[in-house]
Amino acid sequence: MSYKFVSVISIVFLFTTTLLFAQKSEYNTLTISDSLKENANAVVRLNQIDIVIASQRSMNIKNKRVVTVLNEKGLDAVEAYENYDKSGPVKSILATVYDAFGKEIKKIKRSDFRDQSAVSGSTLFSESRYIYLDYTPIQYPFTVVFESETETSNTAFIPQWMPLNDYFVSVEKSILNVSCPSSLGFKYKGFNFSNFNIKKTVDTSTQLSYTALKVFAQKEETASPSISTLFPRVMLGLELFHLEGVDGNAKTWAEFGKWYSEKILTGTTDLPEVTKAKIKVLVGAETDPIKKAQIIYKYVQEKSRYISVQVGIGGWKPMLASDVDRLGYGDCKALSNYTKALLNAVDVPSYNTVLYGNPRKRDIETDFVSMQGNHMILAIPNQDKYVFLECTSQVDPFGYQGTFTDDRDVLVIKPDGGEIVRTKIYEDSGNTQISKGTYSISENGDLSGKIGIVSEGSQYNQKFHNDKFSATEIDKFYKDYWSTINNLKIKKITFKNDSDKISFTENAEISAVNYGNISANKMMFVVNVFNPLTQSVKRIRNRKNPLEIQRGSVDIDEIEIALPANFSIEFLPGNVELNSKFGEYKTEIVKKDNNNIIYKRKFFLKKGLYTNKEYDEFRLFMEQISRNNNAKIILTKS
Amino acid sequence: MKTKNLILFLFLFLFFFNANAQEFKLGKVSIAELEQKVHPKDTAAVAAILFKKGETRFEYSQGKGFEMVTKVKIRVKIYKKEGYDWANQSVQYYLGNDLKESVSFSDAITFNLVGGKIEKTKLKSDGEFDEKTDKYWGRKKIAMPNVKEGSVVEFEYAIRSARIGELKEWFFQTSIPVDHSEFITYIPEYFVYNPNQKGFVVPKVTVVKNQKTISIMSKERTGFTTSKTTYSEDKIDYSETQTTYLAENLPAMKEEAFVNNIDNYTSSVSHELAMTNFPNSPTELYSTDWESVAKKIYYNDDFGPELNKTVYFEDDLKAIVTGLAKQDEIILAVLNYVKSTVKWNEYNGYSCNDGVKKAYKDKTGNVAEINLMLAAMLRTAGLKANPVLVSTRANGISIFPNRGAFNYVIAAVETVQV
Repeated sequence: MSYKFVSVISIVFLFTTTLLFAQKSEYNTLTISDSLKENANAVVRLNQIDIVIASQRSMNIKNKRVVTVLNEKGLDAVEAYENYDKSGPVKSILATVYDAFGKEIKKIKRSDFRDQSAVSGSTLFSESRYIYLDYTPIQYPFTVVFESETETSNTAFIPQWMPLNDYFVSVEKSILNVSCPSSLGFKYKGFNFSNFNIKKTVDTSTQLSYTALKVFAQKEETASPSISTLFPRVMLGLELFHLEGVDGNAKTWAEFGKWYSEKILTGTTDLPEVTKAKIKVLVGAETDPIKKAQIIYKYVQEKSRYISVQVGIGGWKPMLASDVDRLGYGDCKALSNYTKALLNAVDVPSYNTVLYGNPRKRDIETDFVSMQGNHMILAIPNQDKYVFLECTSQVDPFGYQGTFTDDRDVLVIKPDGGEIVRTKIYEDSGNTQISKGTYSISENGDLSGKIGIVSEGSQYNQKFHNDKFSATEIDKFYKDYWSTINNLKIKKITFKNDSDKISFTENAEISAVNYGNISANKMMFVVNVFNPLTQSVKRIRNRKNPLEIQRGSVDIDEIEIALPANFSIEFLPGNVELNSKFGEYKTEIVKKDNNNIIYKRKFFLKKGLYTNKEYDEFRLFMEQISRNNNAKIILTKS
Repeated sequence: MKTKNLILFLFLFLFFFNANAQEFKLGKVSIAELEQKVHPKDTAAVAAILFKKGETRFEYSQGKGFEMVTKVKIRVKIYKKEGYDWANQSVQYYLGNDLKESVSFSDAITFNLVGGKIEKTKLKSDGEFDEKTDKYWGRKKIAMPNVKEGSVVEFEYAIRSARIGELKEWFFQTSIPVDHSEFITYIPEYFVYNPNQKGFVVPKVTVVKNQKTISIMSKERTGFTTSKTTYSEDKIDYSETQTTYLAENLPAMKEEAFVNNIDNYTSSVSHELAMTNFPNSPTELYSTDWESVAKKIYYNDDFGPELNKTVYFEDDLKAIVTGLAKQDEIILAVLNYVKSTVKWNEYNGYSCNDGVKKAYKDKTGNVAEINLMLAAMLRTAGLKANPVLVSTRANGISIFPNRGAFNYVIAAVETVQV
């Protein structure tokens, strides 16, 4: 009896042990080809997104993402998370982790994921939440299989398909499947496919599929255009859509603007009579619409503050103007809309404008109509142009766009429809920094100097907050700004902000001991004291990406220098003039007499987009400038 | 005669009135406070706390026992736009399964001077938000309405909590000037707390004893044939110690370079439960000196017992140290073994979360699991090893013994110098 029992048990035991360790040989990391591992911190083995649009108000998205992480830096590529809120819950979410050989080492079910509110820095409160995987890797490489399913009634946003969305990550296979009834006006547009292996595999009236195969990891290169202009992507949208309880129907930007105006903005600009009366009094007898707008913009800046609260359709619909009036705060949509309501009260037309707000310029796509953008400003028609107002800032000059909303395509929403317009381009020649100053060097090499710097255009943006700095912040800023001067002491500094002209002036008195290097009977020092070029442009072998200089600028310096008595000039740096397609650089030293010289410098960098092959030319241009910036004068004791 | 009495009466009245001039009432903002353009002692300040008063009491209810209630009244002056964020307030509260806390705001008003007159704007419910940060913590937030340069905002909030292990730390100073900061604790004789003061400003402390009573109602049913319910009320008298901490004209504490943690120097008072002394129960000690703190931590299930577990690694450890004779070699071998076997999951603490056995098996653990495991292994390998409790910079330096003084544990080996 006992033998039979033992053998039966042994057989059962054998069976169970073989079933215990599931091997997914397809996730074995040894089978990844070397070409996919080159320059990669992670490899996306498979990313399959299935979007099923059942009706105008129902969309189901299934996501399967298999990523092999090769080292620490590749952890971000796992992307095992989902954003959600009340109208778009997460139906299921789970992850499984496999070791290098494809053996399962951990299963993570929904309750083990972390669930947090998606409140970030500037947002006070939001109903958005996100659920994410908090996994500590035991050893590299490892593979994560992430699967999720979400459902939402907001078909106004169909996520963009972007198989490659970061540098140093490669993609083995990425699939997009969309199915949608033919009655909803489904549309799509692909970008940046050349040089990548992207194929459209299905294209019928109700189905669309794309496959990306063997997309190699891209290296990050300085001064490249943004990823959305480099990497392949497909935008998806519907002509008949739904957003937080509101149906929409739009084929063109004109129609979209009209829908937004009628269905989202209507009824949000009512104001109490008391406020309207107050504003009318404030504006008084002024008749010029731009002057009226200046008075109102100043009023909004003084009265309000920026607080972001995103609740329900509040995520897309501006807070009521009457609420902003009462509370004195709101986010970009609320404050823009409130300013519009005030302008309405004094018969100045203005329009909500949707765009991407970021120092990195990004356009609303002219040829693809869908909900885009992450920011809202206000547009006031001024003859044949628009003046754009940044209503969230309490300090920006009227109509100043700085580097946050300049030079990009935006959607202006008028009551009768929307139109794509380009915001103000700050011309290179207007982005000036003009410096006039003097300095003297004593017999000990000690420097004492005065400088006045006037910044305008997009250069105004970097300086105009400085007058709000505390004494310690000022010290820190200028020590960093003039980092090439050792022993720098700021004796005095004053600021003048002309917000009508949009011009900021800094006046500083500085000193620095031992600026001049004395050895034997010679003294040596860098002539260019006040405008050092501190960035270097690195060499990049076989650059792939185009070179983009987003904004141009002009720096003009004229400095009078008093040399120490009892010293004579042994060597003066020669005059330099560099002209290239990237700009101009010119320095000139004029000798007034044996002890006084004038240093003149002009550096004009053009805004431009150049091919990858032109990068090395640019590097050489910048290198020559950098060398000349540090040109030294040599004096001999007489 | 009458006039003399009248004068005496007036004199006493004035004296009495003056003595209570500091009596702070929410809702009574003066025009002078609204007109103030800069802080008299700190002209760079973007905002200032004109008045902050907190009171922590223990309320007894029959169902819940003693509950700690902390009420805080604040009046803040906003000088510049950069100070607008001081018109928002966020209070964290615990919402774990047991010992949930609750927070409520009240009397929140923004005062503005408009045309020489005081204009009040009340906070409505749309300016109040409740955020569930994660599984254990929530935040109640308010954003005051109609805030401008020169506004004075006032509000009160109350935190109810059953977590009596410590009172919420009261900061006298913060990164803006504080004109008046008052903190009063009303502690029943049953609890003894250790106050820990920190910072360069020493508050004025006054102690008063009050008599309090708790009424406990109890029901009793008697009788066999006809049940009769009798209610009896027991009154329990106890004494309550009222301690007032008062500090005035506190300068702002700003971040400075080369300071490990500015909080270490910011004036505050915190209270940690030292012992409880209920009638008909033995005295329970919590922490009174470093020895007791260490003992309490050691005897905790997540520490001492975990340190003493060895079976789970014995065989593997034997393989690692065979053949090694020199102390340094053994230490290095064991250290490298633990480093390569168990990965840190980025959680600090001196208490194990899942336990050393699970951490060893899953190959991932928190600070306590990894370092207690290391100490245990070193001991088994014949070395004189012990765990050491430490505090990270962010946790600050505690001057008085309390369990919160530490938030990390490492292992140390006493070596023999040859």
